[in-house]
Amino acid sequence: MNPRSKGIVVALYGFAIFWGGVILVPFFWLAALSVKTRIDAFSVPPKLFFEPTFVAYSEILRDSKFLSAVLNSVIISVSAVTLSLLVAVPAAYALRNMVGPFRRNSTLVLLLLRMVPGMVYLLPYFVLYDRIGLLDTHIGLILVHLIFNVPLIIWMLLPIWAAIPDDLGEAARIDGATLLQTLFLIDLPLLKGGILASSILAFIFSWNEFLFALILGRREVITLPVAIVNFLAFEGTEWGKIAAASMFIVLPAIIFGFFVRRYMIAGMTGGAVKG
Amino acid sequence: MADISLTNITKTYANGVTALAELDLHVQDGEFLVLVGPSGCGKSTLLRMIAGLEEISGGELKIGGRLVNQLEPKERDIAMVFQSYALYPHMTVAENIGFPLRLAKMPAVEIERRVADVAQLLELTPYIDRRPANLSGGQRQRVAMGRAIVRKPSVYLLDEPLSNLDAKLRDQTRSQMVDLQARLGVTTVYVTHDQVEAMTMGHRVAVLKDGVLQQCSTPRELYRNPVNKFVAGFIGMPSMNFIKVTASGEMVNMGPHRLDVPPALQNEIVRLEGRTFTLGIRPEHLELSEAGVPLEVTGVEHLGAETILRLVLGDSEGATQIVVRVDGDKRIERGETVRIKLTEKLHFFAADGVRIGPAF
Ligand SMILES: Nc1ncnc2c1ncn2[C@@H]1O[C@H](COP(=O)(O)OP(=O)(O)OP(=O)(O)O)[C@@H](O)[C@H]1O
Ligand SMILES: [Mg+2]
Repeated sequence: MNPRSKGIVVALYGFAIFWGGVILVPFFWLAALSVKTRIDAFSVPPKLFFEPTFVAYSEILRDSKFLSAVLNSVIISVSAVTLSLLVAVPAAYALRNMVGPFRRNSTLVLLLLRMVPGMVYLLPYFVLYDRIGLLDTHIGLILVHLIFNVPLIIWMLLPIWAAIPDDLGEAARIDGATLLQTLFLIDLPLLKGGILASSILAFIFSWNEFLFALILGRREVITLPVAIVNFLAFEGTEWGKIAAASMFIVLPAIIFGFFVRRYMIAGMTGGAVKG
Repeated sequence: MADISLTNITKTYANGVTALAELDLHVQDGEFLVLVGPSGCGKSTLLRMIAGLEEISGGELKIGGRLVNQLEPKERDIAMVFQSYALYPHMTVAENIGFPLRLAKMPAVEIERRVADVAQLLELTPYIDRRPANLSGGQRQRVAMGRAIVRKPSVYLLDEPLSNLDAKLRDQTRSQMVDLQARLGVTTVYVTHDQVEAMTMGHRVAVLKDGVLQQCSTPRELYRNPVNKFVAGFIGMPSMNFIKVTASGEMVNMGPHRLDVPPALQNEIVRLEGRTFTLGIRPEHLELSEAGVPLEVTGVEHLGAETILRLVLGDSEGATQIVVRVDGDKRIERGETVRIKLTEKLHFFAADGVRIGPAF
C-alpha cells in the first residue's frame, strides 16, 4: 500500500470512529442511565464513574405491564415473521420462475411497496379493523406486519434465488422431483442463509414497530415500544426504568445484527456449476 | 432399453425463433448417437425436448414406442447430464448420486448399495463424502455421470459433458464414456460441437445446421460421402478445401490453373462440361507430385507426425487458400514452391451446395 492510500485508509477509519461515536453516544448514555441510581442519573456534570445498580432492571422485571408488553412483542414478532415467511417464500419462488415483463420490475415494485410510509395504511386499517373487530387483537397486529415484512423478505430472497442456476431445478426435475420437492430439497437448503438473514431483519422490524402498535393495539395488546412511551407518560420521572426497558428493545438488534451479516453472504452455490 | 423416434419435430420459441424445423430422426435401441453442429444450431433444444424440459411445438416424439410429447421428464425414463453438471452443491457426492433413487422412494440400504456400485464403477469411492465444491472438474463430471446411470434409465441424454475439461482429460474421458456406454448398452444421445468427439464416439452422427438435420450417418460415411458442402466442411480436421472450378474437357479450370483430374473421374468431368461447380478436396487427399501444378507455400505448421501447408491457388483475379496435409518427415519451408496433384478422392458440389458426382 502506498503512503497516499494509507493516508486515505487512516482518514476513513478516523471518520468511521468519529461517526460511530456520534451515533453510539446516546446509546451508551441510555445504557449507563439504566444502571445508575436516581441521584447519579441527573448529576451535573454527568458522572463517568459510578456504582452500577440493577434496581431499575429488577423493578421492570417485576412490573406486570412491562412483562405483558414483552410477551406481546414476542408473540407478535415471532408470528409475524413466521406468517411472512409462509407468504413470501412461495411468492419469491413464483417470481423467480416467472417469465414476462413483471418479472423485471418486480423488485422495484417490492421496494416501492416497502417504502410507502405506514401512515398511508393506518387509517384504512383502523377503520377496517374497527368494523371487523380486529382492533386491539394480536392477530390484527400480526397481519398488519405482513405489509412491510413480506416485501422485505421477497426483496432479499429474489437476487439470491436468481443466482441459483436453472440447471439445478431442471436436473431435479429429470431426477424425478416434483415442484414442491425441488423447492424443499434443492432451493430452500441453498437459501438457508438468505432466509435466516431476512427473517432476522423482519423480526427486528416487527420488534421495533411502533406506529401500528400504538394506534391498532391500544389497551389490550401493548407492545414493548408502546409500553415505554406509556412509562414516559404515566410514571413521570422513572428514567431508570425507561432506560432499562429500552435496553430490552435494543437487545435483539444487537444479538442478531452480527448473524445477519454472516448469513447474507450466500456462498452456498459454489460447485454447482463448473467453477 | 428403448429406441427414440422423432417425427416432424419442430420447435418455435416464444420469441418467434424457430430452433428446429421438421426434423425426422430415429435413434436405435442401444445406439450411441452424436448430435453435432455449430453453436446455436439447436442441439441443446433438441436434447431438452427429448428430455421433456422444453415443450414440443410440433411433431411426434416416441421413446420405446410410447408417445411422450406430453409426459413429464420423470415419466420418460431418461437421465440427462448437463454441460454445467448441475450438481447439487449442498449434497455430498453420495447424496448427489443417490438423489434420483431417494425420490423414487427406494429403501435406504438399496440406495447405499447402488451408489457404492456406481461410485466404484466411476472411481469416485474416495470422494463419496465430499461436496461438489471440493472436487476437480473431472470428478464433478463423473458425479454427474453417476447420477445419470444410477437409476438405470432406458435413455441417456448428454449435453456437451466434456466441454469443461482440459484436452488431456477430455481424451481419457471420451474413451471411458464409450466403454461405459458399450457395457451398459443404453440408448444414448450425445450433444457436442466437437467433431473429434462426434467422429470417435458415435455409432452414427447427426449433423444439424440452423435447426435443420443435414445428414445422419456413420462417421465413416459422413467423412466419405457428405451430402452437402456444409457437412463436408464441418467434418474433418483441417476442413475440406473448396475450390470453384469450371469443367473443360477432361480437366478443370481454376483461374490461371488447369488441374488434371485422375482418369477414374474424367467421365464425370466430361459430363459437367462447361459448368461451374465446387470441388471439395480434403487436405489429406492432395499429393505432392512432380507432375502437379506449382504453388507457393504461404504457411507451414509442423505438427510432428504431419505437416500442414497453406498454399495459394489462383491469381489477383481470384485466389483461394488451400490446405494440404503432408508427411511430417518432409522438410518444406514457407516461401518455397511445391507441386500439387489431385487424387481420386474428390467431391463435387453444385452451386446450392448439394453433392453431385460419384459416391465412394
Ligand atoms: N429459451 C429460448 N428462447 C428463445 N430462443 C432460444 C431459447 N433457447 C435457445 N434459443 C435459440 O434457439 C437456437 C438454438 O439454441 P440451442 O441452445 O439449441 O443451440 P445449441 O446448438 O445448443 O448451441 P451451443 O452449441 O451454443 O450450445 C438459438 O438460435 C438460440 O438463440
Ligand atoms: Mg447447447
